[in-house]
Amino acid sequence: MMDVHETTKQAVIGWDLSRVVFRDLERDYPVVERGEGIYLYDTKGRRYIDGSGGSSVVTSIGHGNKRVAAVMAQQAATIAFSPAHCFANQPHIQLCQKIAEIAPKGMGHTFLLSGGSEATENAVKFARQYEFERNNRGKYTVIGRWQGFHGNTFGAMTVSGHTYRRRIYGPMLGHSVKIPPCYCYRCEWGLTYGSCNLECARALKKAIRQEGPENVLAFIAEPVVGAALGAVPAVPEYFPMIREICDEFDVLFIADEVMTGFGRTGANFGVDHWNVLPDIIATAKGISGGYTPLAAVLLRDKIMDLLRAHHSNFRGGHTYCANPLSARVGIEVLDIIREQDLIGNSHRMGLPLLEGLRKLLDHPTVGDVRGKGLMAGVEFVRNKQTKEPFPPEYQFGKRIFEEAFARGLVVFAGSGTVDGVAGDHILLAPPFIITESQVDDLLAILDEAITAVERSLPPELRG
Amino acid sequence: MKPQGDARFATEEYLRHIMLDYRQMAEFVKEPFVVARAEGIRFWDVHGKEYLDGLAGVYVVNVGYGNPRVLEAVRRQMETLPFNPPMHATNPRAVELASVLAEITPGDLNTARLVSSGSEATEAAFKMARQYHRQTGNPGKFKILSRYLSYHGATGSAMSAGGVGYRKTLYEPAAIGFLHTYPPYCYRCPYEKTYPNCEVFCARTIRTMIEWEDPRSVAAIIVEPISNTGGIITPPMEYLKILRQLCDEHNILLIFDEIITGFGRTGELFAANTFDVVPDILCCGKGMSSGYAPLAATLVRDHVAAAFWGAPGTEFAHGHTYAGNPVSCAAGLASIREILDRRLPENARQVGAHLVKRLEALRPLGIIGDIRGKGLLIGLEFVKDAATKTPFPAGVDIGLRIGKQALRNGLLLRFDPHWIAFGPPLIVTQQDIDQMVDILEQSIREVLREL
Amino acid sequence: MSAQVFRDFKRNYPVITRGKGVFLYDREGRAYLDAVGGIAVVNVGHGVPEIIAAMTEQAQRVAFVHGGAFANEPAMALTEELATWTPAGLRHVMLLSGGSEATETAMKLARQYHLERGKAGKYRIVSRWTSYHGNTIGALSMSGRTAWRGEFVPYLQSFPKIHPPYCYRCPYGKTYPSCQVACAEDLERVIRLEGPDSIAAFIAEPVIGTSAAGVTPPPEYYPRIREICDRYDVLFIADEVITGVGRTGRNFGIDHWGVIPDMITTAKALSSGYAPLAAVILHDRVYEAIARGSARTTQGFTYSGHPLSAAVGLAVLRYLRAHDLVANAGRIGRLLLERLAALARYPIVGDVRGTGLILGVEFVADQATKRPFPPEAEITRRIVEAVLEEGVVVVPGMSGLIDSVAGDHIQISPPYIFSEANVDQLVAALDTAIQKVMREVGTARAGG
Repeated sequence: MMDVHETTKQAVIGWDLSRVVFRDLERDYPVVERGEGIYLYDTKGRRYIDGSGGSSVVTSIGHGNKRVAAVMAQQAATIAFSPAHCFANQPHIQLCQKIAEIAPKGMGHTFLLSGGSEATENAVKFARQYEFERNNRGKYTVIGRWQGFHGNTFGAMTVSGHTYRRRIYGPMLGHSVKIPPCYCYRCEWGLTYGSCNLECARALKKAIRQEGPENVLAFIAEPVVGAALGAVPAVPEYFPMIREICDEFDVLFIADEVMTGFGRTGANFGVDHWNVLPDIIATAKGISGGYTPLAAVLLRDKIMDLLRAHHSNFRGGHTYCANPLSARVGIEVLDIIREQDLIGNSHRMGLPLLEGLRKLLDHPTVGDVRGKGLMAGVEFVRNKQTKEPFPPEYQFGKRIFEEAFARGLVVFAGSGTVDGVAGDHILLAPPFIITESQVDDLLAILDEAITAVERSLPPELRG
Repeated sequence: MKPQGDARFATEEYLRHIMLDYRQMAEFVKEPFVVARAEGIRFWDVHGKEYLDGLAGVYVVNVGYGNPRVLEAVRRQMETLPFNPPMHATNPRAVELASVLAEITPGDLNTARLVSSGSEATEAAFKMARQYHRQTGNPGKFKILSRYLSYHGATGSAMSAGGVGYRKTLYEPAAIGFLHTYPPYCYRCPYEKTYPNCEVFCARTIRTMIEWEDPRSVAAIIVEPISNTGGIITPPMEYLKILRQLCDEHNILLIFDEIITGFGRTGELFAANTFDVVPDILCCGKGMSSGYAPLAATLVRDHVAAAFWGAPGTEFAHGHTYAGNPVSCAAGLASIREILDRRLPENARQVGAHLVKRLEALRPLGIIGDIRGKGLLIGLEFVKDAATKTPFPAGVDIGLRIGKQALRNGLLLRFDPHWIAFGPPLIVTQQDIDQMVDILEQSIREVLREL
Repeated sequence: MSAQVFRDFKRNYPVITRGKGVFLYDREGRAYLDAVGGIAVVNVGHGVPEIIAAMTEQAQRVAFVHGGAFANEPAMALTEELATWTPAGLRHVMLLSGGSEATETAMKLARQYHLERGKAGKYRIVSRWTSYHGNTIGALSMSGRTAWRGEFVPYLQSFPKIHPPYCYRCPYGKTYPSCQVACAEDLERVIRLEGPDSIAAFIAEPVIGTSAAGVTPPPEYYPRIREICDRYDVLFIADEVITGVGRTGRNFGIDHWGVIPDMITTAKALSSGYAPLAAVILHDRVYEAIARGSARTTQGFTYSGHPLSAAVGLAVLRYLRAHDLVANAGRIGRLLLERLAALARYPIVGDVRGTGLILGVEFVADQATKRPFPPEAEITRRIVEAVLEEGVVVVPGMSGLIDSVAGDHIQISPPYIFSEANVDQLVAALDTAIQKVMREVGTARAGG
C-alpha cells in the first residue's frame, strides 16, 4: 500500500476514513498490515497473538501461508471464475471429493458457498426441498436454540437465538421456535448434570409436539455453541438423544458447524465427538482458513438420492457457489491440515489451553471455563456464588478484549450469555498450528488482562 | 345543572371510561352522541333528540327497530335456553338456522359455521380455505388475495386482509401471506381506463398477480361484492364472473364478504344473486339478525364442506364461546323470516331506485361526482369540479362536514372525507327516503354556504 | 457418482480447466467465447496478471482478519477508490462477499435508518415482479422471481410488488410515451394504499438482469421513482449487483438517469470474479442518521472487509480505469445492440434490448402477437445449447418472464474487454443457433 497510517482515527492526507462503514462507528481501529503463523502485525509493527482465529474462529492453518498464496495465484491465472450454468470445474469437483473423505460417513455430497450465513440458509432450503419432494409439504418450521447463532441474513437470523442481532428486525423475521441450549453452568431448569434427566434435550420433543410434527421441518444447533455463548459443548448424551427425537418425529437435524467444522474441536467435525450423524451440515470458516470466502453444505446420502430420484434441481445457490478459485484454496487448506496433522494438533493443544484456562478460575470474576479442542470460552461473573453477571452497560467483556488487545492478544468478546442481554464471555480459537509455548504466552496475557480489568472495577461492582 | 338520568352518560365524566371504534374520544366528548332508544327507522339520543337512521345502525337493522316478531323470538329463547355448551353440543335453533341458510343461499352453499361477528366469520373463512387446500392435497396454498380499500374485520388476519393501510400501521407487523390488488373503482380507474373499453382490466389483471405470486401458493381471494370502506365501490357486472373463472382455473377459493351486502341490502337476498356468481365461501352477518343479537356465519359449498367430513383430525378448529348461541340464532331466524315474508329485498330494490332518482336530482348543487351502489346501499362521492372530477383539497373533508351536519339535522349516514353513503333499514318507504334526502340537501347547502 | 452437488442434477457439465481473456477452455482443450462474463461477473477478462499479482501479494501479507478488531489497508483503499466511482453523496462503503449479503444488508440498514429517526413502523420493502435481489430469505422476499420462491414461500415476507417497466409487454397494455410511465406511478399508489408509515424502501435493478435481461426503463422512470420516494420518506435502493461498476457503460446503471439513490448494492463486477466481493454504498444522509443515533450496526459477516478480496477489488477498479474499460463497455454495447437488432429478421426473435453490456434477446412464437412458445418447447435451453455448440457461452434468462411460467430469453453480458471481432463471433454463433432451433421446432410453427 502506498500510504502508511496507523489507526483509523488518525488523519492521513489522502484517506477519508469515514468511507469505510465499520460495525462500531466510534471505535478507533488499528490497521493490520501482515500476518504470519499465529501472529498479526499492525502498521506500527506491533505484534498480536491471533487468539480467536482471525477474531471469529476462521484461521485454521495460520496467517501468511505461502503455499496457499501460490496456488491461489496459479488458479487465478488458470481460471478464477467460470459460468456455472453450463460448466463444471476441476477444483470444485476435487474439493467436494476431499470433503467427502473427512465428512461423517454417509454424508458424501457437498454444495459449495461463500459464507456461513449462505450455508445455513441453503441448509434450510435443502431440508425444505427434500421434505417437499417427500410430500411432507406442511413441514417448514425450523426449531433453533436461544443463544444459537446461525448467521446474519434474514433466514439465518430467523432461526438464530442471538438477541442483539435480532431485536431491531422484529417484524421482518419469520416464524421459528427456540428451545434453551444445553448449558449446564446456567441450566434453564436449575438442575445438575447427572441427575437432570437431560431436560434440555427433551425440550426439543416438547417443542415438536406443541408445534405439531407435521409442521416441523428441522432442528438446527451448533455442536459447540460459539459466538453467543462462548464455546459451550453439549453433554455426551445430548446429541444422541436429539438424533433419536428427530428420528421419532421425522424432523431433520442440521448441525451448524460453521465454527466447529474441519478440526476446530480436535475432531474432523464437531458432531464426531457425539458419534451422531446429522442430516445436513452447514460449515465454513476453517475450510478456507480465511484465505477466501468459502462455505459448504454437506448432505446425507438419503437426501441427495431422493432429490436425484425426483429430478428436483436445487433452487438455492449464489454467484460464487462453484467458483474455482475459492475451491482451489479449500483444497490446499485441507491438504495442509492433513499433511501436518493439524486436527490432531488442535486436539493436543486444546488440552493445555483448557487446563491453563481452568487456572484462571482463581480470579474472582472468572465464573466458568469450557471448550473442546482449540475452541474454548471463559465466562465472567460479578459474583461466583450467585453467578450474577455484570450490568450489561459496564461492557465487561469488551474491557477484557481491549486490555488483552493492548497487550498483544486478540480474543473474541461476546455478551448476552445469561439472557440475551446480560452476561459476558470471551471466545478463544487460535490457529491449529499453535505450539505449547505459544499457548502459555496466550494464557499469560489473558491472565494479566483479567487482572487489569479486575483492578479497575469500581467498588460497587466488586463481588 | 348536572344532567340527570341517561343524559349524564353523555358527559366527559362518564365517557372517560369508554373507547369507541375509530373515534378519538377527546373529540367525541365535545359533541357526544349517545343513543337511548329506537323504533322503526328512528332513534332518539339521551337528550330526547330524534334521528332518522339512514344507515340501519351500520347496515345492520334490516327489519327496523322494535320488530315484535324478533323480540318475541328472542324473549322466548331467553326463557327456554339462553346458552348451550358450545364445544360439546349445539341447539335446535342453531341447526335450524343453518338449514334455513342452506336453503336461501344460492348454489350449494349448504354448510354453515355460525359465529358472532363479521371478523370471526372472515377469520373462519381464511382458516377454512387453508385447511381445505391442506386436506385436498395442496398444502402449499396459504396466501389470501384481497383488495386495497377493503375492510374484512378488525382482528389479526381480518385486519391483514383489509386494504386500508393507515388502519393497520399501528398494529404491524401484519400477518404474512395477505396481498392486495386494486379495486374496481371505475370512477377513478387506477389504470386510467374506461368501462367498457377496458374489458374489466382490473379483474383480468388479477391473473397476473396470481401467476407471479404462484398459483400453488394462493389459497383464496376475498372480496366484498360491493365495498363499503372504499366508498361503495361497485364493480361492473362482469367483474365477479371473471374472478370466479380465475379462481376455478387455479383452484383458488372465492370468498364473498357479504357482511354488509347480505340479507336483502343490494335488492336481492345476497349480492351473489345480484351479480349471479356463487362463491366457494360466503361470509355474512349484520342484517342476518338485524342487530337484535350478535350473529354471523361462514357458509361453504359442498365440495369445501366435504373436505371437513370424515376422518378425525380433519374437523374445523375455531372455538368461540358465543358461536351459534341459541338466542342469537333465534333472533336470526326471526329476522330472516321477516325479510322473506315482507319481501324486503324487493322493497330495497324499489325504494333504492327512488333514492338514486332523488340523489340524481342533487347534481345541480355542483359537487356530486358519482352516485353508485345497488338496492339500499348507495354512495355519493363529492368533488370540487364535477366535469374534471377534481376532488376537494385535503383538509376540507367535505364528506365529513356534510355527514356531521346531517347528523345535527337529525339524519344518520355513513360519512368519509370524500363520500357519504345510505344504508337505511330495508323497511323504509319512499316517503322516508324523501324526508332523508331533504335533510341531506339542506345539510349540503348549509355546508356549501360555510365554505 | 460425483460428491459435488450441481444445481441441475440431470445435466452433464463440461469441465473447465483454464481461461484467458474472453476465452474459456475445457478439459479436452476446446475453446469457448465467454459472452456472459461468468454470469455478468467477469469484466477485465480471465487470467489478468495485474489482478493475480495483487491477490498473491495480499495473500502473503494477510489474507484474513476480522472486522471486529482490526481495520485493514486494502479495504480502506478499496472503499476510498470506490467512493470516487459513485453518484454524489454516496461515500460510505460496507464491504461484503456477495450480492445476497449486500441486498440483505441494505434491507437491514433501511430498517435501522428509520428506527434511528423514530419511525418504527417503516419496515416493508416494495420491489418489482420480474426481479432478482438474491437468494437468501430476506433477499428472496424482495425478489419477484416466482420459480425460485417456490416451496420457500412460507419463509418469505409478504412484501408488496409492483409491475416492472417492461415496455415490450406493458403490464397495463399501454404504449410509451402516451402511458406517462404508469409503471412508476404505480409505486405511489402502492405506498399510499399500503400506508406510507409502513414502507421503508423501494428496491430495483436500474437495468433488469437475468429476470428479463437488458430491460431498460424510459428516461422519466427513475426521476419519478426518486420523487415518489422523497415524498413518502421511502429510501430508494438501487440494486446494482449486475449493473454496477461499469457494466452499462457508466460507472453505475443509475447514472443513465442522473438519479441519486440512498443506497447502492453492488457485487459481481467489483472483483471481476477473482474473489467473492460485494458492497453496500450509503448516501451521507443514511450514514449520518445512524452515526448520529446508535452509531453501531449489527451488519457484517465473517468475510466483510476481507483484505484479500478487497485487494482484488482495488486491482480491478484500477485496471478498469487504466484501460478505460467502462467506456469500452458502452461502445461495444452499442455496437452489439445494433448487431443483435438485425436478428429480428428471424420470426422467433421478439425483442432485443439492453444498455451497455447487459443485453437480452427475447424469443416468441409469433412476432406480431408476441405470443410466447409453450414452456415445454424449452426454447431458451435449446438456444443456449446450440450457441454453446458453436463455442460461445450465453446465459439462459430466467424462464417465465411473461407470467412466471411462459417466456423465453437469453442474457448476454460479456467482459468489458470484448472486441469487435468477439462481437462478430457471438452474433454469428447466435445466428446459426437461431436457424438450428427454428429447424428443430419447425419454422411454420415458429412463424405462427
